[in-house]
Amino acid sequence: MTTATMTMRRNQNLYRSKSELKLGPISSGFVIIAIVAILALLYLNAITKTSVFGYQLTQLQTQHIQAISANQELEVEAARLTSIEQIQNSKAVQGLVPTTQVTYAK
Amino acid sequence: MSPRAPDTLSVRRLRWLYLALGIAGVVIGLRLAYLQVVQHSLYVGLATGEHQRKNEVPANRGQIYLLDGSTKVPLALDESLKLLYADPSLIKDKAATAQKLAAATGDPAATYLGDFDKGGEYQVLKGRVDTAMASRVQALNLYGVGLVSQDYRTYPEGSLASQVLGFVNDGGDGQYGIEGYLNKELKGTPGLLNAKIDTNGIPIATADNVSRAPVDGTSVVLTLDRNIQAEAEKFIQQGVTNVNAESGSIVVLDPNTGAVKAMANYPSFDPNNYNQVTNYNTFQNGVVSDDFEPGSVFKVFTMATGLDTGKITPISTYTDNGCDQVDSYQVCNAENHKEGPNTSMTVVLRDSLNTGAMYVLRLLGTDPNAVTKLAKQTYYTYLTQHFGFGKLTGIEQSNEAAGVVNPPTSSDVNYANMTFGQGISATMLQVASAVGSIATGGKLYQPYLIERRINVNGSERVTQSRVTNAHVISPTAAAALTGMMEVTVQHGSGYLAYTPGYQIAGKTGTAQIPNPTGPGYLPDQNIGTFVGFAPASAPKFVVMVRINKPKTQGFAETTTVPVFANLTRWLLQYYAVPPSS
Repeated sequence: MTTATMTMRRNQNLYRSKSELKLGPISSGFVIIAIVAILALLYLNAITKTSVFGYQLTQLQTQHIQAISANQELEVEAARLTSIEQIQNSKAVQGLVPTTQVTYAK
Repeated sequence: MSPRAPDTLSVRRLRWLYLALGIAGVVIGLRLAYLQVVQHSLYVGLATGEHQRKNEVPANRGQIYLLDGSTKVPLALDESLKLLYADPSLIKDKAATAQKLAAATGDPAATYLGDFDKGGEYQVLKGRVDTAMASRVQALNLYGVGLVSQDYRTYPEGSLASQVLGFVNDGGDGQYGIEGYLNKELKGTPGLLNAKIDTNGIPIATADNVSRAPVDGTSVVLTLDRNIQAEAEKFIQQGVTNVNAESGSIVVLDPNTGAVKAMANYPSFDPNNYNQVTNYNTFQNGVVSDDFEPGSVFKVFTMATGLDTGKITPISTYTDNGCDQVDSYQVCNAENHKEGPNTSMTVVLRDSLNTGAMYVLRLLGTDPNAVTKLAKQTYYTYLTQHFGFGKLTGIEQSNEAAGVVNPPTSSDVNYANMTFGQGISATMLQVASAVGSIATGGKLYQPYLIERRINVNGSERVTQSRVTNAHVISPTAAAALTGMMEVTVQHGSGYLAYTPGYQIAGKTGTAQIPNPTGPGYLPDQNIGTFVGFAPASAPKFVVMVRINKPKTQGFAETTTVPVFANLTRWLLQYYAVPPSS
């Protein structure tokens, strides 16, 4: 053995623990199936949550549309009630008397 | 004979079986190839349709407003209402269902029964069903009858300015008026939703969904003033009814900007119920779409040409013989009127003398006793290049008419007739706009209807008034002509419009109507017009009134002038114009 080889081996960790767990082919199969099942469940959970949010979003959009529709209705009703025909037919206007003499301040 | 060997029989049967299986395999293979290759796109489409929905999301149509003073008032809005429909094949007791629907809607049961009897699986029973009526129908819980939401265009002011507005048809497209002219701008751009759906048809949020928001249409504010529009409509209705005429129109302009303040037509219609109109001419805005022979109001432009070219002054005289010979025709004044010698141009306008107008035309040329080529060319240039006749004004309305001005190559008698408004056609808007240029001392503004546009993001674009010709005639000529038109109101055919204390300039016109089926004019039928402005020294408005085919005897002074007078007096108060004397 040369001096160089001896130097390399001097700081080497010579302790090695032996694992007690031993997986056979069937156990490995079960572990893989379990991991896949867990991942599938996580995926399903994420998808379900997204779908629930999607439905909530749809509901909110529906409410938004209903609110816009209600607002439109009110706008139209307000416009009808303040239309010139309504104003001219109102009792207040019917009671007005036409001006006959107008005097302008100079 | 030896019996057949069982092995041979089995082999033959097996061969038949193989053959049958082979044929069956080929048939199935071909069928599969047909379904999966040839019909591929069909079945992909059907499958996609089961779990995917592609919808066009409609954009909100822009709103239309008009002004009440400086406040904007809605004139056209979108409203979400219900459409009542039925599947007649599902209705067992049609009579009872019709009765119940009639009770809920107030319509005759026979109408619904008629719709049910048409059969089929889908019949529209009624549109524009409001919330209250929809609730009553829903409470009936009728089998085979349903309601669906639908956006409708609603006009809360009813028939006010209906011809200016036009309407939106069942397909969602604007027709006539502003709705037709600005359809693309008002309509906006529809959006798109392409989404996966669940069994109930509700969209599921997935990364594959495509959603593009719609871009709503631009809203517009019109220059129309609601109060002036309403008064103009009231007065034209009264005017048409009083003389038992066929129809009539009014236009009110601001001569200092070209802004249209009112455009009224009678008869009118309610755009909410446009499908009840039987005469489609009612949809046309007569002020811009109906060109006509304007008659004697056109003498104003003949005088303007004479004054601006320096050929005449208000006190220039000629001898009125009652008739003049042009080509081989005798052209005379109305009712054989004859003023005699020393008839001034002011009197020509005041008494509406055709011979005087023809005299001005002759003066425009090289020979005062003949209608020369130069005279016709000069007159043509003034009418088309200065006053803008024969060209579209560019007003924001569908179906604008340009009118017809015959070229100088036309006959002398045609040009002689043109001087008093026959043998030429123009729209009311063109005439009112051209008179506006006299009111402003020679500036012709382009008439316009859109005061401003309101974009989806709330930003506004205000329309700037545009001068199309800054030197129609000189200010001196305009002032002289204004004075002549004032005399016409004070002492001439417009005397009924005379209002003490106010300077009003105007001119009447009673034009014959060309025979649509042959040469000449219709007997005993005319179009009465009056155009004027006030106050004459600092005009606030130009008003033109037209009444078609009055049944009463007389000229425009008894048909249109009273309408002009009523509206002008109201406008003077509305604008708070104090009397000048």
